[in-house]
Amino acid sequence: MVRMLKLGALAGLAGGIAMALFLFAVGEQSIRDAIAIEDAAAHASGEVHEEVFSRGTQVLGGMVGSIVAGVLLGLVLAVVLASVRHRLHARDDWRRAMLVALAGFVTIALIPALKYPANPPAVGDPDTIGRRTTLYVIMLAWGLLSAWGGWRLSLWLRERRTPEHLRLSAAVGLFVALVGLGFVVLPGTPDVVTAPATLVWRFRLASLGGAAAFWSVAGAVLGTLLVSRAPDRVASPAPAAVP
Amino acid sequence: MIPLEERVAVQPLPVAVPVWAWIVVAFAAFALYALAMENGALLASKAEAVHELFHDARHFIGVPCH
Repeated sequence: MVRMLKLGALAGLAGGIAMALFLFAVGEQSIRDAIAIEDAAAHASGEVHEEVFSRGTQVLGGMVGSIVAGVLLGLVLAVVLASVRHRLHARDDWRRAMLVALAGFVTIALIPALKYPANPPAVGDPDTIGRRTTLYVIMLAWGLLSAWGGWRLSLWLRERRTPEHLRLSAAVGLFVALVGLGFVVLPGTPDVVTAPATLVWRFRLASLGGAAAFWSVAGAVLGTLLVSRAPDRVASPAPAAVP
Repeated sequence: MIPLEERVAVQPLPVAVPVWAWIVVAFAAFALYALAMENGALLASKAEAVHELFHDARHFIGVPCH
């Protein structure tokens, strides 16, 4: 388990670096454009806004933050993979790691982003930050709960020897239905977006791209480490118990 | 349909996931919260510095931000 966590942290580090590079190469352009709009608006209204950190520090801080977040998510990925891998029907640990990473991308990144998409600076009312954070966390938690519900249903149906096509359809169906319910029940974001639509759209795509970069790299690296360095019981498949 | 032999061969043994591993997960979740969503509820005076330093990452990860 300790080894699994180490590999998870390593995979998360690799994924975090991928996300940080993606942020630097793709996301920063939109952030720069958005800040220019913010500054222009502040200038027009005669407001003087003292920045705590320079832009350079913030860009670096953003990359460091991405990497730290990556390592933390890598630990979560490793523990979840360890707890489900003996029940995941896949050919090897690389595929299992990729499946769990895909689940992570969908539940942790995609679902909250569909309901409350990422916004560049210049969008977002400071007065509603508390409410927006609460809604975001509720959506995130609901997505995780939905995924857990689908997973439990899948396990339950497997015990009852339901054919695979029905089992997977039912499990994914329950998951999608629960997530859809959350989308419908939860209120939308309270903020009005006044920034140009193309800028906001570009930033949201970049944000999702960064999440995809993280989860795919973290999953692939964790899977590769498990497959290639498999000297002990933790990583190697069970000895072939062929009758 | 995968042949039975193959299926038996590839199913790994369960890994014991001790309680402390889930505590690590809880810690990671808390640290992510502090990193990404903290706006002053817990860290009070330090929150703004944390917020501003990781500002770009917050926006990029998609967490609500001012």
